[in-house]
Amino acid sequence: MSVVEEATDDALYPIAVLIDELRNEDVTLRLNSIRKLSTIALALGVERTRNELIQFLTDTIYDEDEVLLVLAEQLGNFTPLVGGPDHVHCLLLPLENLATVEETVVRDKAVESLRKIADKHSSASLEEHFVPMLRRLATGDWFTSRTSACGLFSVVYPRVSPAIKSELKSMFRTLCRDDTPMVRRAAAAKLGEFAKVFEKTAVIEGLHSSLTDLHVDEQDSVRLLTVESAIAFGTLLDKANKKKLIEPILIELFDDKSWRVRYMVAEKLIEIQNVLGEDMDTTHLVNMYTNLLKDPEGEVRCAATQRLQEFALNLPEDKRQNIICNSLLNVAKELVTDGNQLVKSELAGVIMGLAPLIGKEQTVSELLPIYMQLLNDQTPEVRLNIISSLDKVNEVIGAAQLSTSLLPAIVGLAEDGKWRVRLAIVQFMPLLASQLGQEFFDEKLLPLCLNWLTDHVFSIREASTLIMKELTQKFGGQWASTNIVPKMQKLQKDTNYLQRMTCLFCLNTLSEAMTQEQILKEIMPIVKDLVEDDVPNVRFNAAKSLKRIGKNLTPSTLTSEVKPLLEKLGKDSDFDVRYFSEEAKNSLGL
Amino acid sequence: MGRKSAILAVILAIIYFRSNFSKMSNTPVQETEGPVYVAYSMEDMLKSPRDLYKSVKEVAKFVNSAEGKSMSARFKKFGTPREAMDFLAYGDAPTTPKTVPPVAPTEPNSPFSGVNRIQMNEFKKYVEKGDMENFLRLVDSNPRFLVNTGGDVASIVMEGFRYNALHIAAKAGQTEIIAKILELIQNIDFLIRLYGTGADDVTLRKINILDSYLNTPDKGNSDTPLHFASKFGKIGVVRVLTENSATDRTLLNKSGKSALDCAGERYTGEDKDMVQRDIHLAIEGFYVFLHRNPTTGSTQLTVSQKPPATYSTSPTTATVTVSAQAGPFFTEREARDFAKSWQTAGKELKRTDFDKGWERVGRVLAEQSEAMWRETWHFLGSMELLDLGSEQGLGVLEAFLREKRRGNLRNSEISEISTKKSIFRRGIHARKLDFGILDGEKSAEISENLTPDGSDSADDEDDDDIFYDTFSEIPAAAEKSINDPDDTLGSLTDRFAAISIFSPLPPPPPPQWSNSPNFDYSEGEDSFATPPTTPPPTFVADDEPCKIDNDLFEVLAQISSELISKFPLTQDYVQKLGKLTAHDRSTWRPIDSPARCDSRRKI
Repeated sequence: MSVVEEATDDALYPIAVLIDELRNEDVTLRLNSIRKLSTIALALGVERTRNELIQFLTDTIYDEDEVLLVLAEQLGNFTPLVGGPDHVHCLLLPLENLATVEETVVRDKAVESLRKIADKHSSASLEEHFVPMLRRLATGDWFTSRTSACGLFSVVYPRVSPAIKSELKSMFRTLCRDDTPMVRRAAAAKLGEFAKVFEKTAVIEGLHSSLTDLHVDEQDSVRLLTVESAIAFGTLLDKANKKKLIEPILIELFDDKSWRVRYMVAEKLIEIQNVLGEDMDTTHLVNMYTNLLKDPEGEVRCAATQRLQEFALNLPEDKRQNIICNSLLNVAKELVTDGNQLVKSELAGVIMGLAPLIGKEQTVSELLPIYMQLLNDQTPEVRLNIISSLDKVNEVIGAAQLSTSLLPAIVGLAEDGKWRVRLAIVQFMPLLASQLGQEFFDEKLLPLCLNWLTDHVFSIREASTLIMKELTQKFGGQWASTNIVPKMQKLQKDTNYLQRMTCLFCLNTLSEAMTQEQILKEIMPIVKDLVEDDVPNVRFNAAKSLKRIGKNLTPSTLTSEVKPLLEKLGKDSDFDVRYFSEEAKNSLGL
Repeated sequence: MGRKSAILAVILAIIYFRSNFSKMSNTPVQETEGPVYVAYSMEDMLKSPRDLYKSVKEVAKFVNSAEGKSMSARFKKFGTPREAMDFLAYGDAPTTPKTVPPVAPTEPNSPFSGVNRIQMNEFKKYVEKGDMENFLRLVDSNPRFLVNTGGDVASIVMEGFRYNALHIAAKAGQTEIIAKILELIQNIDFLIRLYGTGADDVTLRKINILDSYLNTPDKGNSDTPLHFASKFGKIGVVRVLTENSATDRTLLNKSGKSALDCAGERYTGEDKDMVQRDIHLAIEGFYVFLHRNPTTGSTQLTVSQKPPATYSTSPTTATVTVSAQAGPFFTEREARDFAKSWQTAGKELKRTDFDKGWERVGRVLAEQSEAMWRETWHFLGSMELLDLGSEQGLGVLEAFLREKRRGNLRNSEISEISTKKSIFRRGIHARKLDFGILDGEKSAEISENLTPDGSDSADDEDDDDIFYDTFSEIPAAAEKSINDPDDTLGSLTDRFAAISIFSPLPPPPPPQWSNSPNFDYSEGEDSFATPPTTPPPTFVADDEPCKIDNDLFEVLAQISSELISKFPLTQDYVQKLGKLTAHDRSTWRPIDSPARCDSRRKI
């Protein structure tokens, strides 16, 4: 007897500790103990976890939202700890409570966990335990509880009897007409997901009325969620019903009085096009789309413009060229002078994607003027985007033709006051080099690249050393010796130690694109000099450089060329220099 | 003017010079060494004498002569006579290439003339005394009493110390005048009238004017208006000034003191401690703000001294705004404690009432801890935080109700003809209020009283007096009055009284009505003339009642009847809604409820 009692006391111990910790003033302690919940459950065994731990958690559920959030998450993974599918329903009560709290994040997590454990229920226990809980949530007085209920229908519905199915349908319909917008919003967000688990034939009868209700809701935040639901319905219904029931709803949403809804339509444009496209009159769809492009609200125009190329690509091939040239480009021409910079930037990013779709002749006559106009835009971001789409032009007409007009724009961006703009054009250089050819590059762009090596922003200097490698790979080591190494020699002697360091960084990347002979002939002399620099920062960067450059050399040259230098640095008076030289030695195996 | 004609002169001179170029170049010029002087006319170069002077004395003599003065002559020194001749020929052109100067952005000329010292003194007197009537009269006659259009700054009312009107009013504690000044100088229409330009132009100027008013130190002790108000213990003024987010509370005066530092320095009343405390609260107090995201419904409490900025997280969600504020609290700790109890209290209510739950909880807590409470009422169409328990808050509501009623009146005039035709088709949703329908002597009596000429004349008046029985549209009430035959007559008449001016105890007519020629009350109570068309009963957000009305009523019902009686329309509203049971009111649905919208669509 006494042995048994003792065992009970021992077993009770974890709970006692947990209770203590959960009563602690300090939130972080409470959080920690909740995180250890599964360990405690494991120690208690399934039966006592069910009877005592879960009971305890259900009763003491009032805490800070952070603690509740972790609890909600943990309980979702508790199925094995309470004894598997036969007993999983004991988790419903604490999660039901958590699904009704005020804090959205906690509720959402509780719903997520409830969805997880719903799958673990047998069909029988789903009807016996889960459905009654869902009923309580869906008809509760608190809008928080009704909101949470919306997310649970789709996991229950496929696995219950027809009688309960019809009850669930009517419950959901009621939630779609709830007085609280938050509940209707949750219902609208889950409507599509719910429809997908319906028997195909039952969707119309079961849920279409809810969709029609929600898409005329007073709240635009509810209506905008029906865009996605309507698309989901569209994929589920057969052609005739889609045309009759879904098309009118989507058409209305295109013209919604709230710009947020129209923004959502623009965001989902391609999906809508896929749903409606094949059966709908193309001209009508194109008209609705061009209306979005001309929308009074900038955000809507932005979102619509973003999808210009994809929309055009999705058009039926036989009509595509005609539609692009006669409708889309006319609107695009207006967007070129849009008052909103973001719209122009988006346009610049997508417009040249139309080139392959309309062929060379039309590109020259229709797209090129737009291209040139955007190239001369006042906003750097617009110019940057349009230059970035150069490859697409190249495919159709060859970028070389454009070089004369491109150059001023590139030079302008290269000297832009915003370093992020400069950075973008730096990173774009290798592509430009390959599109425009070596001759043009050497003549016009190389000076810019060399200038960036002495930019006053580190990111620009760093990016320009990186592109040197790519350029050398493209044009060959010989090109680097004649064009870049002289600049290195100049930097090596610069009075500013930062420039001397840039020189080292550049040599690092160059060495990866050069042969051993070139390295020995061109690079090593410079490094040798910098090993004896007055500034320790330069010396230890020289050590780092030796480590990188050494990787491209044969062991014999390493011993003869690199080792003496590193040994010299190893005796340096500066700690950091000694450290990095040691590191380089080790990694090169010297 | 002078500059323009000078430029013209230069141009003319150039033309003149060009046409005579050959002649000029042939003319032998006296080549003498040393500096020479010429006298020239500022206004018209062509009038300038073509004489060269050898010394300053000589040229000065000419300039000061009667002839020189008549052309307002100036003189100029040149190194050689040729330079001097060139100057006379083309003005400054040869030395500094003279082009037409870039046209400076022309400042608009205010259509109003400047204000002179004497007028300003009169103005100062009114500001000091708080004489609102005369203050408004002067400002209306010339807005430049308030704004110096030259630099878009506050007009200086008192030279010497360079006080603007706020300095003076703050010192004198004229809270209302200050509120009015701040309102006027931020009013776009007022500024447009003043500058004679457009909205874009004055919006830019507005910022400068406001800043100049609030934050300009005076010339004596570098005191801002807030310093004055604080120093003299004018707590009302301090509140008005600190409410404006453009007020800089941190400015220091000559003695290195902030407005808070000099709180109550010159205040002599016995309640100095209280006053200092209040000033401290107004300047440095901490507030608890309730933020709401109208899209997701999520709420958040923050504690700070200044209202936080509104923000939007993505295009698909609406902007998060401050929807209520409690405070000021003396210390940050007090504010945090308040926020904590707000967070934990009333969990039930917060989860039942989605759009006012937090506010209802906070309101009660604020009352318990005697903190000031303000919240936004969206039906008013602004994000302003209002304390409906104060005169100012009720004033805003009253103005809203007045406007709403006026709008209803207009609408009912416009739609009168069409409603006449459709009234029968509208069925029970718009029954004509004919007391004959009700059986029972009392109502018949009332009906007779109202139309003493008999039922015939009542019929004649039909077209003018159309009432809509809104009760049929209040679900619960309508159900009762139509379906429940046991409903007592007393309760029925009471219910009707709630919505009609035939009420046995009619609320006092709002003052502006009695001034209106349309409504003649002069015949007195004994006259049985047909009363004017009652505007349809006003609910705040819609023609029919909704949850907002209930939310508003709950707040108004807590306010003392004495205070509310100063606002006739508000009082009227409270009396009408008070006739209904709390249960009836609680059945009013939110304005966007689908059930409610459906029934409205059917109508």
